[in-house]
Amino acid sequence: MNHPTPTELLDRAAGRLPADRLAEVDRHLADCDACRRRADDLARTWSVLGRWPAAAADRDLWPGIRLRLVQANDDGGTLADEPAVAPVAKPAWTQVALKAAAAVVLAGLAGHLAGRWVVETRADRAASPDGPTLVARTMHLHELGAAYPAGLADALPTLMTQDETEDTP
Amino acid sequence: MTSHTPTDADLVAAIAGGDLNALGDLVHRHQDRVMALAYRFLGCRHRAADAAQEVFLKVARAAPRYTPDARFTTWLYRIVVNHCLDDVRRQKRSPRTLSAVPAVPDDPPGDDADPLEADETARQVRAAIAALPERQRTAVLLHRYEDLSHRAIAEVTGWTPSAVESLLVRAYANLRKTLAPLADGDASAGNPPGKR
Repeated sequence: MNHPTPTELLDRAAGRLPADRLAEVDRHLADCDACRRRADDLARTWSVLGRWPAAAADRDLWPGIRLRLVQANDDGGTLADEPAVAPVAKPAWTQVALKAAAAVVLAGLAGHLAGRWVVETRADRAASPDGPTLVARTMHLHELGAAYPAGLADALPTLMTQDETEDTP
Repeated sequence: MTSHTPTDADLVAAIAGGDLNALGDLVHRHQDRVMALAYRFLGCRHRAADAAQEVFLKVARAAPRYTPDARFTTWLYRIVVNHCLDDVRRQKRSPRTLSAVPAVPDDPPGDDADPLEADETARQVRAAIAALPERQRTAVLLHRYEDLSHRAIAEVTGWTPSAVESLLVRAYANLRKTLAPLADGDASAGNPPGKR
């Protein structure tokens, strides 16, 4: 027969190998020194592990649990308010990474706002008329050029000629 | 008139409906089992008792979400294992001060003739298991001390059955090396293999 697998030898040590398979494995172990050595090693390890005694509850846990439940109710909370399984605390490096990410986001936001402010200020300045333009608007010079397709520049020679004629006695 | 002993699933359903007495019954039914496994993970009775209390509180909180298609003990073991692994990780991140470490060994007395030898053997076994990688340690504790099959361990941990088998084979190979002096002593003393 084939050699038993390590899992089968484990099951044999644990007493969980089905009877028919156990008989086959035992027949094999009788003839195979290597497998028998492995099986004996496992059985001894299994036995030694059994010498660590269990700790049963040396006191009834229920009074303490009940007290905590009552206290939770007195505080106005209910069991359903709390998560059934506490989330695993994040390691320290994730806290640092989160803080760094928050700092980057805040810096980016501040930069964005500052940039918008500068652009808007320039736009406002560009939209406000300079001195000569303001004087020209006040004098309604643009109306003088309205009748001429090319505007005031086209109207000026004609207007100046008229002025000279009117000024000439 | 027939007396009806409620099943674990009955009790969990009652807990979900707010029946505190049902939680008390469930605690009394399973506290030794939970305490024993928590002790194996944590190596300290006090921490194990605290962990066991927390586990039952988690059971109460999670009761409305329990579905009886999974065996209750599988579900319970899952909560115990998760809680204890979290506890161990927390402990590694913030180790206790020296004053908090018990001065005397925290192993309960065994049935060996020589209590000192029993304590020393238990200490070595506990140390050997504690030195295993986390997944191997979990698999061995459930297999050796809770008598769970590979498939049951897979259900508790969420690992595949083949992963569990692989972990167990490696874990026992590691333990065989570490505990060889004790095992050889057992063999020369004529202790029968398979003793629990």
